[in-house]
Amino acid sequence: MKKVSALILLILICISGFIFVHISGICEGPSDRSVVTIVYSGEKGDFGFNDQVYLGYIRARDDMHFLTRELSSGRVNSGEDPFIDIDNGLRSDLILLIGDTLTGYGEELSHTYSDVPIIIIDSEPVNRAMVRTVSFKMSGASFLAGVLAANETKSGKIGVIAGKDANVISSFIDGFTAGVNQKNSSVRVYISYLACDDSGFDMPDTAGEIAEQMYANGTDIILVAAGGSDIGVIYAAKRLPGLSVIGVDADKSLIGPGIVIGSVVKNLDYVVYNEIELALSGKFSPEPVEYNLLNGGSSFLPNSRMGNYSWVITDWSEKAKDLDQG
Amino acid sequence: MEFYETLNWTVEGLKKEGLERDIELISIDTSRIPIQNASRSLLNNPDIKVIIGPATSDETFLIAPDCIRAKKLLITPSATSGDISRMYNKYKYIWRTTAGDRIQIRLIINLLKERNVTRAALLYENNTYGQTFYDWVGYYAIEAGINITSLVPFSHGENLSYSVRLVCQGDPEYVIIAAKGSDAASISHIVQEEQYPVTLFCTDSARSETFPLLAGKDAEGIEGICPTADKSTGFFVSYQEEFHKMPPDYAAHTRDALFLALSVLARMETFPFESPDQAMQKILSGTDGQTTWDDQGIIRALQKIHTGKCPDLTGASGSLNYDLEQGIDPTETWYVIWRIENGTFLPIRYIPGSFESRSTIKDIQSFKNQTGYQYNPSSGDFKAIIVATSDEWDNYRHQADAAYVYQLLHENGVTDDDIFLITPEDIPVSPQNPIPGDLHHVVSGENIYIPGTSDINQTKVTSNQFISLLLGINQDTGKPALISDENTTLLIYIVGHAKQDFLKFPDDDYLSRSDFQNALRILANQNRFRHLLIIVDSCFGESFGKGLNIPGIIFFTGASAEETSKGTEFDLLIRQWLSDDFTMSFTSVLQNTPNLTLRELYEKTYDRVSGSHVRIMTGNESDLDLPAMEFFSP
Repeated sequence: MKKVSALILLILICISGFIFVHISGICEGPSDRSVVTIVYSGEKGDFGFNDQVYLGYIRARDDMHFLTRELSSGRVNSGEDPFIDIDNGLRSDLILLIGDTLTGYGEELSHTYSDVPIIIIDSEPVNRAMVRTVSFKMSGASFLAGVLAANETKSGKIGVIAGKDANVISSFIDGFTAGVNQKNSSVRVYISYLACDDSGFDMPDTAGEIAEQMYANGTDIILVAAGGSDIGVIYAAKRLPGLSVIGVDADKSLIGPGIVIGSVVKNLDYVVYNEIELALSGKFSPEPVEYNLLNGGSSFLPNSRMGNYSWVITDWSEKAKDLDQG
Repeated sequence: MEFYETLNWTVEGLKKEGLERDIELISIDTSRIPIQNASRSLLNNPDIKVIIGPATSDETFLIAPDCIRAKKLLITPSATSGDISRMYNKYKYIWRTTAGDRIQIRLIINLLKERNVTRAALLYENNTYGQTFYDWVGYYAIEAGINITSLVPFSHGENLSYSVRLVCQGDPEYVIIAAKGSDAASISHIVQEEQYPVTLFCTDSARSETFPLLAGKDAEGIEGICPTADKSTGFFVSYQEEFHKMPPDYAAHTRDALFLALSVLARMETFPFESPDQAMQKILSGTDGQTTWDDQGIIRALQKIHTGKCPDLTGASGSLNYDLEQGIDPTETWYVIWRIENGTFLPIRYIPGSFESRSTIKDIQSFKNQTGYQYNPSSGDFKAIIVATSDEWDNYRHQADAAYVYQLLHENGVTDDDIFLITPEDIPVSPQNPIPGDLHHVVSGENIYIPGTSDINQTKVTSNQFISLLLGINQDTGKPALISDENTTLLIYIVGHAKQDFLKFPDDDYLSRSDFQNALRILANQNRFRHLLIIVDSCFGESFGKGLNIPGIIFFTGASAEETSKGTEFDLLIRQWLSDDFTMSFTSVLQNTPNLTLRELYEKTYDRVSGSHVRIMTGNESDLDLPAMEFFSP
């Protein structure tokens, strides 16, 4: 325990009197407030994907004043119903499922509750009347990362470490490779997948070992798109002088300030906010939607502490957008 | 102010969600108003049921007894001394929303074990904060199989060159630093400059901007630990959204303290016949559906409580689970391991911390099975020497323990003639004693002080007096002297303070291990006992018996050579520990099951003592099969 400041040695907060609580809808059945349930793949606290989603969710909550209900995929798998909260009887007006691992579950759910709008974030399209899927085209933002990598590499060897070979990953890799080639076609890109299934997104030790192997072969920049495995590459880079990393999903420079030269990010907070707003304002559509560099759903964040990389955005954004448009 | 910021944010959020009454937050700056004055006005106000705070352990020690007596709940989010839960556990009026520093040192030791560290040392500020680390580092190091090479105290702001050299002398691989940021900066600078081959690992106190600012490149790469919130609650995201910065270490715990306070008030409104401590325990044992820590979650929880239910509360800092029998702290608190990189504290790992369960306690000494030893009852006499080596009010428990062992022998029929009691006898007559003439061993217990029982009752007992009595040197002068022969069964019970290899008497008078053991060898050579049981209840007790390999002598102590012993049975009225855990334990075992061998007494006492590792040594293993009562009765 440490003292909080030199002056305030103690704060005593006195709680007295009665606590009166009244809020419509929270425990007393029907309400004029909407209920928006969110189901995460895994849990919050990843400083990345889920936390970005949560940020958009609470911003929307504060602005749109809906009632919240948060569940993890684990709780849903163990039988908790995302539509009805048996604890208080509240029924969801909108259900958000986060992550492509919940796509199948979303389809099943739409059969059970066919009139409840369901939005699945970061998912392949699903052909159901009340299911809207949100996907991301990351080619454009990844293209910018590739341009920067090709410019910064001294060895001419760049690595990519991905969780698995899947569509949600390939748009990162395709765009990144295109950017590298566009900037300097002599630079080689080596791609490594950690696993054939989702376990590749939780293998930080293996990811670190592959990063070390790549480094031993001369690689000096690695793009890592491997979820929970990313940290293994970032920690490896801290031990390996001259190795830099480009992260994805969230700003990874926060955990690797001297290592990460930039991050290809899905602007999930914006996307989640936008999707909730559309649904709660009666504009829900089951039409699949793709977010990208053009509509603000993705971007590339160079780490300004590592160098002045603003030229990447100013000089190459138009070409990157072309990629997303195509 | 950070506390206030968090609380204010919470209150405003609750109002927006429909809390219809203003919650009045009154902050009291104790740099201007003495803490006890401030608390008195709160405690005398019948409208105030719950107090959140104070921020520090020292302040908590000052006001907690008054809160308990006034039946006001005190919930502190950041007072983390290990003694708080040990002192106030049985009074369910003092609560914490973060676990104590005992868990922090346990996590540090476990981390070092993960890194295959075998030797570590502690450099700690000599104050209440550092005391917890000093008290527990040895205990957990033993559990982890790590050798603690030294425990070195220092004072804040002093030149630390000597302390750093001292702590590095034992060639530790890691030095754990329990110090403020400015001292940690000095230490890191000295280590770099002198090129000591050690790795530094800091406790939470070092995590202030001062550390990297003052240390510069010397701080780069240094790691440490501090309490934090469970990141899966989403508190980090919410806090950053509100304040555009990462939350301070205890922000989530502060919010949780308010959550608990509001919940218990709601409970008291719903069940007015319940006392505050009962209401709190109900609140913390809820199973009627899980509620979250955000504003809507708190409102839901309060509404449920008003309907008579007890929801399962989840805090911003993590699950608010409490083991109501064991403690007043949450069973789990999250910590972050940080590393300084480019002048900033970079989080590198989040880990949950909890107390060990008793089943994980290991390191009990194993002896061969029963030796088939045939016991021949002694035909000789029985003598006992009881020594309390410390004076002064804060050492109340030592004289109480000595008096209690004296009483135990007396009850077993040992006469005064066969007991030598050496104790300063200053506690019963101390002006600080609110019950003049009294000395008790359990809360509200009987007075066990019998005036004039001490054979050497000058206020300042000395090590020379003890050794002279033991060796019978003063037989001819009329001073107390042990007279014994080869048939005598002898008990020596010593309680007091010690450092490794030295037993402390008043006025910096230290009895060294070698002097003590030389005296015992003289006794042995002169055939002055048949069996001798030495019981030492002090910190590092084992160190006093190491190398004592004399047949007929059994050495029994409450703490290993690397750890402190612990007090037990805290008395709110006199604000003192009444006993040491080891003495309380072995006497209790003996009273409940008197027909034990020494081996069985050791094993049962080991299981009972919770804060140190009981040790027993003997020059002849078959002596462990002696009946324990041989040393406590004529």
